[in-house]
Amino acid sequence: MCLFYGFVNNICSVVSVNRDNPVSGGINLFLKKKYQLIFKRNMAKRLLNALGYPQADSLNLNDEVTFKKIIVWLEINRVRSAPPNVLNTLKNFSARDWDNTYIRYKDGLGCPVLGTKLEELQWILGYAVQIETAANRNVYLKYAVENIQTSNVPSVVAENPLDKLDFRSKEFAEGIKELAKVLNIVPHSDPLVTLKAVRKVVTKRMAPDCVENPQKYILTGTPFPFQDADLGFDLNDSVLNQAAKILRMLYIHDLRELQTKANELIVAVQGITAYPKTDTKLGKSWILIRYARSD
Amino acid sequence: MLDELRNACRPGMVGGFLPGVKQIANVAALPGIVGKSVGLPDVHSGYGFAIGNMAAFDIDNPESIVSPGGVGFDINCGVRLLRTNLFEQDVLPVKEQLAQGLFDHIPVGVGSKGIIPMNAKDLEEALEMGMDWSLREGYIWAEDKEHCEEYGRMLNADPSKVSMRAKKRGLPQLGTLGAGNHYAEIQVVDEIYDKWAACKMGIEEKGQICVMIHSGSRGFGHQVATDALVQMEKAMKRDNIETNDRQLACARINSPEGQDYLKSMAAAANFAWVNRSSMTFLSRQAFAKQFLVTPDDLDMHVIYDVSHNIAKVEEHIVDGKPKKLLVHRKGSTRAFPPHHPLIPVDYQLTGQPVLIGGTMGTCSYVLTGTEHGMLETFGSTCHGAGRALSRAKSRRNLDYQDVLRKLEYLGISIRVASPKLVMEEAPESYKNVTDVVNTCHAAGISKKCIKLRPIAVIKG
Amino acid sequence: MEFAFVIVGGGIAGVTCAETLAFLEPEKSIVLLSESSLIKTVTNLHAITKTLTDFDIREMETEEFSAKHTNITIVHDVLMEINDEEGYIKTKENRVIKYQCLCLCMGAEPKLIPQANEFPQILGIRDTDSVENFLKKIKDCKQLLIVGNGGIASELVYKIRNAAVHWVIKDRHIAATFIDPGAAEFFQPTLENPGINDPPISKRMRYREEDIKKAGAALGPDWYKNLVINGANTEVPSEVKIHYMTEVSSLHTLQNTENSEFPIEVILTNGERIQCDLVISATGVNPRKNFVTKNKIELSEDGGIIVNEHMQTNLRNIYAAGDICSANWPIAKHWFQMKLWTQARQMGCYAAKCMAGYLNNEEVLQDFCFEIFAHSTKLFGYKVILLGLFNGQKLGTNYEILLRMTKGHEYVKFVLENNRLQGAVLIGDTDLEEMAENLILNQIDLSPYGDDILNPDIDIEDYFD
Repeated sequence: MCLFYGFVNNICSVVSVNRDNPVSGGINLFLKKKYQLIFKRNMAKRLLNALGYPQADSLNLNDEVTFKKIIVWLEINRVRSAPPNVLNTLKNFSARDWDNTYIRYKDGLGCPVLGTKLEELQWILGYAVQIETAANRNVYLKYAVENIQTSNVPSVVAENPLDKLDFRSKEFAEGIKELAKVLNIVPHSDPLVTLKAVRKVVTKRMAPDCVENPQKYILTGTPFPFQDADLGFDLNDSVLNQAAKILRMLYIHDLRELQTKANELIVAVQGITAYPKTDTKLGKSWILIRYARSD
Repeated sequence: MLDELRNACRPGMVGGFLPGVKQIANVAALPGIVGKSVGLPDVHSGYGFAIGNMAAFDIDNPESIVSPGGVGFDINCGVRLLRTNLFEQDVLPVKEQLAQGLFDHIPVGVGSKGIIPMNAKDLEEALEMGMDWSLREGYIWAEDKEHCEEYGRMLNADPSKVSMRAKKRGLPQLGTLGAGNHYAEIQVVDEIYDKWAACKMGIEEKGQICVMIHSGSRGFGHQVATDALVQMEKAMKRDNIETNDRQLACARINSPEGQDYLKSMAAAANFAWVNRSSMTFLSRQAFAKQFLVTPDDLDMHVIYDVSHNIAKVEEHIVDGKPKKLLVHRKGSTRAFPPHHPLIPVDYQLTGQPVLIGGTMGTCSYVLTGTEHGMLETFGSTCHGAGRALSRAKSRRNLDYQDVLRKLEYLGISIRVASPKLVMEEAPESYKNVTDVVNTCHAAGISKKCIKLRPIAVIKG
Repeated sequence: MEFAFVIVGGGIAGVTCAETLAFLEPEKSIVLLSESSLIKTVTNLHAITKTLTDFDIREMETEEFSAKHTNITIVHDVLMEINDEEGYIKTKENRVIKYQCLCLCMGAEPKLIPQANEFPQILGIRDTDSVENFLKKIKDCKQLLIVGNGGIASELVYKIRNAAVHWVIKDRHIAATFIDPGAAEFFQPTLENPGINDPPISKRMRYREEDIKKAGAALGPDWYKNLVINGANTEVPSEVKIHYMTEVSSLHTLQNTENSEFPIEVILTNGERIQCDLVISATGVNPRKNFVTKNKIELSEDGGIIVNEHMQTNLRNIYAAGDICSANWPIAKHWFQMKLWTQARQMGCYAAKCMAGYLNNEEVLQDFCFEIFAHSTKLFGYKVILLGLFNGQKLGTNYEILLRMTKGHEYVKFVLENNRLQGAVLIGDTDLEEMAENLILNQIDLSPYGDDILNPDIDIEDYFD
């Protein structure tokens, strides 16, 4: 379950990458603000549930005391990273400098600047899930696709200096965080996930041709109201359905990319093989070199 | 109705609705059938199977059969729809020239323009490769392939299983593209029922111009089916297969005859896709010539391409379990729901577009597949009326006496065709396409999306 | 001069052959040897079914034709001699043209009744030249006699206005080349009242109608389309008297003293005597062969050049197509040769494919049009489609006829042997051509249907789709 939630959390960050990026379109076009809020609130409750927070379903997350209780509970039971003085202040709900201490605490965790407390909570919850997942690594590992795939791959001695980087070092994490900030990307608690988002943005939007002809790459057209679309099955749970729909969209998005690449390949081959035998007096109205469509 | 019923009960009866129903019932008794033998709303009688009949057979059941009658003679007869970014007002003033242009292009031959020549070697390759051949030769666009059932190529096609006579019959006649009853229509979007689905197909507004292409494998398919019927009659005797109707000649799917038929049928299907692709190419040329822009700038993409007469191996959920079935669709269109892995990525959210051609000159429709249809009819819906009945048949005033007298001296037995039961009106074997589509919509096996109205018909 | 392909003859077979080669082999040189400056091209080719086509013939000045096909050279000359050993031809104007492949498409010339040499009043009609001559002469004509029962004779009879016509046929019924006595009966009313069924305006757009001009080659399918044939007898409505099962026995000139207004008198084999201004002989054709070859070219009994299934003659690299040739391959059951423009086009085109395939070492499958006889024409203003053994040819009396007819509208005849369709005659707009073609080719057992296959209340057209 946890792994799944972690995954959904990653998607959320991917989705928000797009939303916050001024030059991006795509999937976020379809997410409506209002729906997002409900979605996040529910998601927070689910994460709490998954982490074992008592009576998570009946919580009012907008209540300040509840919020403080959750932060303290998470720190004591799951995160366990705050120095004793910080924890003590956090435990004292009526302390005057609670808010300041909280900000210090969350910055210490690496939480980026986010719009609302709810979003911050969401992030911290995701962070806690990551710790939890890491702790039980072995349990989940055997289900991880990467592991199944890599087990047969012979290890190659790397010559690339980048390979010598310590991805778990604090410097690396800091550097990635900085990079993300510059690119307007919401960082994930795992710097490697953030790096992936950075890579996506750089390859997709920062290529020389993109910078010169942005209109060629910015998607236009009428967005499809995917909320109304039929999922094809029902998980009897609106949040799960929502998550599944997002997975669907991502899958379709990937599939489209794959298909476009296949088409480009065919066009390239046509450049060599095509020889339409017909009356060319009509003019060559058959045009083979075409821009592949992407939507 | 009563007249028709009475008519249907006499021996040797053919044509019409009730004989078709009887044929559906006979199909339901074939070995290995799974679920029901389904008659679609536009059903009427045909050779063996009714036209408008769907029947699925369990591949894992060794008794299961494949029947050429369940596919039909015109293998992979089907419809393709091209969109344009033109509107009715752009086309109306040049309608005649455009129709003439298409006419010049579609039935091609020496003395006419736009020939697509094909020799014996080309044919062999085309039978194996289907639309990949058209792609390789540069007649069509890469995107055409993704918007086509089976990506325009059945991989199990084996030209070596096709008789020499079939190949000769398939070769374009003397430099022409192959002839017969195909036709193309220039159509206008008349109504949009499902805005989003239409939008995914690139249809934004009423008045937009589309081109619909109807064609199949014609003579080639006829020969493939005929050859198979002969083989299967022998196989039936050997394997002791009994059917209620001699026309339901069939063979076990896994028998050599069954496999050979499926391989040559696939070759015929590929042939039909090459035909439709060639017509696509010629239509694009005609439009480009008329409007002096490239087909690309006219956004002449293939919306979809459906097959009406075909048998395919598909996976379906039967009693909660996935099962491999050989689905015969004759005069019936595949209509897969949203998210089905076999439909193009662009239609994953809307469901497969289903193209319903009206009889020549009447309205046509685009529908989309539904989940309900997947469960009820193995993802099948109607195909629209096949050919024109609309032309009013003048009441025939049969009078033979003089003629018979003149023929007498030949010493030949002469039979005279005449209606056995005098009926005021001929039974309506073709239902109005709008009624057919509405029935499918109401039954939930497909959903109305777009209605198209023809403004010019170009017959091959 | 040396060319890859040399085609002799500017008629339908020759021109189709040259055009097909020009298309298939755009890089190679082609020469078309034509006696006349006008050549005939096929236009508006329209495929009705797999094997049935209809088309118009358009005559073109050679300049126009050359402009259209840059790799065809047209030479006005007459073939005199073929050296098949060294691969060159010699012409009347002493041109020597070397070839890699030669195709003979000189067609045929009208077969005239034997007396034709002695009487200028006897005309043969075969090509556009002779039509012009005929039109000139008929202007002063009050009464004429037409001999022959083929397509040209039938159409002439139908088209002639303001003159009395005697039609002499050796058969029991009219238009016997194409149709059976029953269909002839169906057509009879149109003869009694000519023009009542003038062809409706074609739905297809046609090229500008061409006036009929001079040329040496055979007539095309629409030769009479814009022809108005008027005799001198403006007072009297035209009438046609048909003389069945008889032939011309002899004829002699009448002297003015014999108190007759007509110059000649014809005596028929049945003893009847007919006085008239003109005799039109339209009794068929003989292959044209007025050249010599180094080695003997094999001819069939009827004088045609024998060709095999690849249109090759017995001489190396020499092909023949059209009316000049005689098919000598194992003939498919439902096909037979007839000297028709349809077959001239098919053979011309197929010979081109064979020659191109031969030079490129490519396999050429015999064209499917030789599997079934298929001809589309207009007779007496009706669309007529003939398929397979439409008159029970080759079947003896071992066949059945299934018939449907509506006076003035349609005549449908199916020829059945062992309950399998062998041939069909479809007159009028029947829409049955594709089904009939497929039923003949598929040889499906039709016994389950009985007479219902032509039941007018049942739409059978897509039953076999």
